[in-house]
Amino acid sequence: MKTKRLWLPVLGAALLVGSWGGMSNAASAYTHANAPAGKIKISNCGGKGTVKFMFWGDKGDLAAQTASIKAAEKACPGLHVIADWHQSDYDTALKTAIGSGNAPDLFQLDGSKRVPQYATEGALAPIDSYIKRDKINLSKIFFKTCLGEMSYKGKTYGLMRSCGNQKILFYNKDMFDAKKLKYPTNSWTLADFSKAAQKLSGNYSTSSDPTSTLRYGWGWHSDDFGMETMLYQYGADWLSKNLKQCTLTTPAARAAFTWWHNLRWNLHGAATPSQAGGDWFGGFQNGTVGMTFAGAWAEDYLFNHSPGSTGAPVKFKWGAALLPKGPKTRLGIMAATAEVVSKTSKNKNAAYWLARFITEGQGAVLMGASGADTPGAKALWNAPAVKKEFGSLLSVALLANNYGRTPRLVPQYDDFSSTIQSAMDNYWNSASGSVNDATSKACADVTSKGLLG
Amino acid sequence: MAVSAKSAKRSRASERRKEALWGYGFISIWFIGFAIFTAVPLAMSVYISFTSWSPIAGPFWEAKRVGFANYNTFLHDHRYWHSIINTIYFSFGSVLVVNLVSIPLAMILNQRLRGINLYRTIFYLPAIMPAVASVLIFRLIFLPGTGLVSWILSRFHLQCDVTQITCSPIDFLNDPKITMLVVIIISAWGVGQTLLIYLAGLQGIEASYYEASSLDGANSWQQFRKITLPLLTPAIFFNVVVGLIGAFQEFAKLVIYAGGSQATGGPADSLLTTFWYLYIVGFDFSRMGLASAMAFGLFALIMIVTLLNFWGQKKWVFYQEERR
Repeated sequence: MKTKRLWLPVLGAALLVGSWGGMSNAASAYTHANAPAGKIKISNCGGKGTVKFMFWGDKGDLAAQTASIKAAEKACPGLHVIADWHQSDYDTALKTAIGSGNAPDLFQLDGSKRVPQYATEGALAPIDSYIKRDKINLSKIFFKTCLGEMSYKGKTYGLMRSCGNQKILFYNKDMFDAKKLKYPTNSWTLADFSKAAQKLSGNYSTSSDPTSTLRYGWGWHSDDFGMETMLYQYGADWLSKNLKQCTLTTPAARAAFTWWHNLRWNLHGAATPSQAGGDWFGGFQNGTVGMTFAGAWAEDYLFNHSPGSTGAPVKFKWGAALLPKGPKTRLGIMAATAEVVSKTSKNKNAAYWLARFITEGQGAVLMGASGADTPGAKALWNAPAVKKEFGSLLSVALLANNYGRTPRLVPQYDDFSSTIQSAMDNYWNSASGSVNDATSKACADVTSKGLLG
Repeated sequence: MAVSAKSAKRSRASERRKEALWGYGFISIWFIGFAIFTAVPLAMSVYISFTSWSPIAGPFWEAKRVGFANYNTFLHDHRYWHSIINTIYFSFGSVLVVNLVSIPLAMILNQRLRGINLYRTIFYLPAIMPAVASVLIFRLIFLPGTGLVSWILSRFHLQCDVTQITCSPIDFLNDPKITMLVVIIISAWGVGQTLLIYLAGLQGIEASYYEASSLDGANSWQQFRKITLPLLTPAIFFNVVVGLIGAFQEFAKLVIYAGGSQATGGPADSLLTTFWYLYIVGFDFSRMGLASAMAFGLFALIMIVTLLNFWGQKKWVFYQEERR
């Protein structure tokens, strides 16, 4: 016990000295530019010592993270990483760790939802000074369309491990063949999409499923990501630019929602809740839903297609294309996994170095190969492991990343999103629902609860 | 003589002390558990309810104290009041259904039949089945289109033809008007515990009452109304009080029936009970201070209902001993 007590201040002092050492290396050459994928060397490995790193994922992710951590420790002698992996309930585990004063030095955050909240509540350390020190141009390294999710109110808080458009159009080729329809293309519009969705709905068999079964054109998806994308297609949004006004009651927002509601309830191009049992994911997997929107992660989790998948691959042939263009845009919602440094970390320099290693260095290549998601660093999309993992989907996913945007986020995102979904439910789930009533209620509720920015 | 009496007294006192020490020793295990897992968290919860604590911001003792602001916030949150209405609907509904089902069942199982113990075991079995498993099975039974209930309705032409694209069958899982009603009906599945208490209550009614009433020409219905029901009121009272306290805190059944997603309270918040809402506020929205205040709001409601029950029981609960 006594030895431990003595050991701790010695280690703390060593970490501090190490951290200063790292800072003093600021002028060392940055070697990222034009480095071949996987050979990227992350400079300033001065922050030696222990870094507790918390992350989520399945067993495949864990294996990739473990390999990535080992590579990091090898690349930065003296760095010791404690991996804190959570397969489920990550948010609760993270909050418990921070709330009990045991925040990890480095941790993952869902960039599409959480950074403003964690930044506002003081859990994150801004990393702008490190970025400046390393002379990194973030928009050259990472996808611009995800960068907005790494910062809040002018400060950068994270580096992105992954970045992907969550609204790529996936389709079941067998259903299209059965109905003698042309496959979706990257230039499809919502009108093309609607026509196909209606024709794909009905009782019929396919080459991979000879049973005559009731099938549906589109797998309904009206969660937060779903609604946001509906709005983007119509040039609308749920919040004004300054985040101070709910804009769901605008004519464009209402027109967007009405279009999708109509597709479901009047045109029968999408399953109603009682038809699909609310399960778009399973419906697409079992071949009863012809089209769905998802991120590149679908390759692993929806189709069980990648080498790391544990389930049986789907029985039908499938393809992917860009999101159909609405009256205004074909922008889908972008989601990035952020690697953020804790404000209370005593080893911020080492944590930041590790974040770089796993977002743009060799660690990122190892992570990309797990199929967890598409890398946030552009150079890594050329890595052989990533190419092998995503195969033909990679080119569509890459293109889709240029047709995406970051969502407008308020600090109390969960409350905001949950309140809106609750208000919209009656509209989505009923043929006679009123879009005016639902959107007015949604805006009134988030405003009265003080959830705007 | 006096010395020996004194020494006997001392020895008895020492024995009593020893006994008391053993007693304290035994209850200390429970007491330590109670202190660590109930009393301390309860005290912490009281304190937290007066702070703006969010676990994301750090430990609770560093949180800003905000007085009664959290109490004011939830009292003006219409979603909270919606959850209170749902809680009351579910609690009274499920307690009513459970008791209405278990009294006749208990009477049937109180008969002298061959193999009665087997029947009693069978009826009790669902009570030991985890709620997760039973509700998941009921979700399949109530699945629109392909579930058993939907199939029966289709067979009797009580809903549209589910093989047609234009048919939207009755949606037991997503229609906000009926979801709570279905969960209340499902509650009847777990009558085992209540049934057992009624069975014990029925067996405590003296047979002489029935014999005497038979001699006076009373029929079965009259015996039930005038003897069984009045003498069963203590058991009814117990089941209602315990059932309501439990129902007010129900969480798992509703979340699972809603599909397992805890982020929203089922379709259009139709299944959102107060317990569930305070979980969402605390764990999803990270507003532990507000969630703690909400918990005390729920506590107050349970307390009022229980006190009303105790106050009202004087008017309708009949204890055999009082008349003797």
